[in-house]
Amino acid sequence: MSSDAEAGGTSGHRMTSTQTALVLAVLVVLTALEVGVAMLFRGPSGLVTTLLFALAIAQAAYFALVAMGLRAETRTMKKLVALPLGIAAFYSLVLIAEALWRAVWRVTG
Amino acid sequence: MSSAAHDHAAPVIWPVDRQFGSARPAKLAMWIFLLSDWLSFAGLLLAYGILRANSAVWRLPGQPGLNVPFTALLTLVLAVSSVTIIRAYDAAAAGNRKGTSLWLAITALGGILFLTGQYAEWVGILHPGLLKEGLVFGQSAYASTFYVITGFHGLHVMAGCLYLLVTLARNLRHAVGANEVELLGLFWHFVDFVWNIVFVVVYLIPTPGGP
Repeated sequence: MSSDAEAGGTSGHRMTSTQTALVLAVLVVLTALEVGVAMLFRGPSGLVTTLLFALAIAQAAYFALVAMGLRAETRTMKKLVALPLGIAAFYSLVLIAEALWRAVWRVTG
Repeated sequence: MSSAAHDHAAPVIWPVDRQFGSARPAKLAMWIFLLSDWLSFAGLLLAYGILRANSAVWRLPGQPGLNVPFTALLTLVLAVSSVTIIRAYDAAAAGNRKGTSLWLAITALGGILFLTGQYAEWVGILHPGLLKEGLVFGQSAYASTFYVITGFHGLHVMAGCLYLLVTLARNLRHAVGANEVELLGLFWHFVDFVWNIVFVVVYLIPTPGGP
C-alpha cells in the first residue's frame, strides 16, 4: 500500500519514504531560510519582518496540508480548520491597522 | 503476528460522511481540541505583538539576547521528530509493531532532546542560561513574554512526550491501532506547527533600531 498510497501524513493516508524525506527537506529548507533572512539579510526591519511572516505562513500551511494531512480531507474539514486559524490572522491585521492609525494620529496631532 | 493482532493494528475504515469524509469522531475531536489550543497560542502571540509594538525599548540594557543558532537546531530536532512520527504511523498501519515502537521511541527522544535544549537555554547546562545571565521573569515585558510563551509551548512538548511514552508502553504490551498513532501524530505535528510560529515571532523578528 505504501508505494501507491495517497500523500497525507498522519491523516489516515500513508506516505512513501520519498514523500517523508521530501517533507523533512522542505521543513529544513524553510527553517534555514527563516534563520538566513533574520541573521544575514540587512534590509529595513519592516521588509525583514514581512519576509519572515511570509515564510512562517508558508511553513505553517505546508505543515497543516501535508504533514497533518489536511489536503486529503473534505472541504468542510478544511473550512473547520481554516476558520480559527484565519480569525487569529485577521485579528492581527486589525491590530496592525489600529497601531498604524495611532502612529499617524500621533504625528498629525 | 496473529491475524487478530494484525486486525487490531490496521486502521478502521469508517463509512464515508458527506461533510467529513472518512474522518472518525476521535479525529474530529482532536482537530477541535488542537484548534482551541491554537487560539490560546494566538492570544499569547497577539499579546506579545501588542506589548512589543507599544514598548519604547523592548530589550532593556544588560538583558541577554536570545541564542538563535542554538534554537534553530532545536527547531530542526522537532522537524525531524515530525517526520519520525509519520514513519511510526506508517509502521502501525502496516501492522509492524516493532517498527512502530522504534519510531515512537525516536520521536519521544526528539521531544526529550528539545526539552533538554530548552532547559539549557533557560537555566544552563554547560554554559549559564538566560536566568543566570539576567533575563528574570517579571523584570520586563521582554523577559515575561519570552518565558510565558516558550514555557507554554514547552508544556505542550512535555505532554506530547508523555503521550508518546504511554503509547509506546501500550504498544510494547500489545499492538496499538494505527488510528491511535494517527491522533498522536496530529498532536505532535501541532506542537511543531506552533513552534515554527513561536520561533519566528519570538526569536527572529527584528526590533526596529534596536537589538
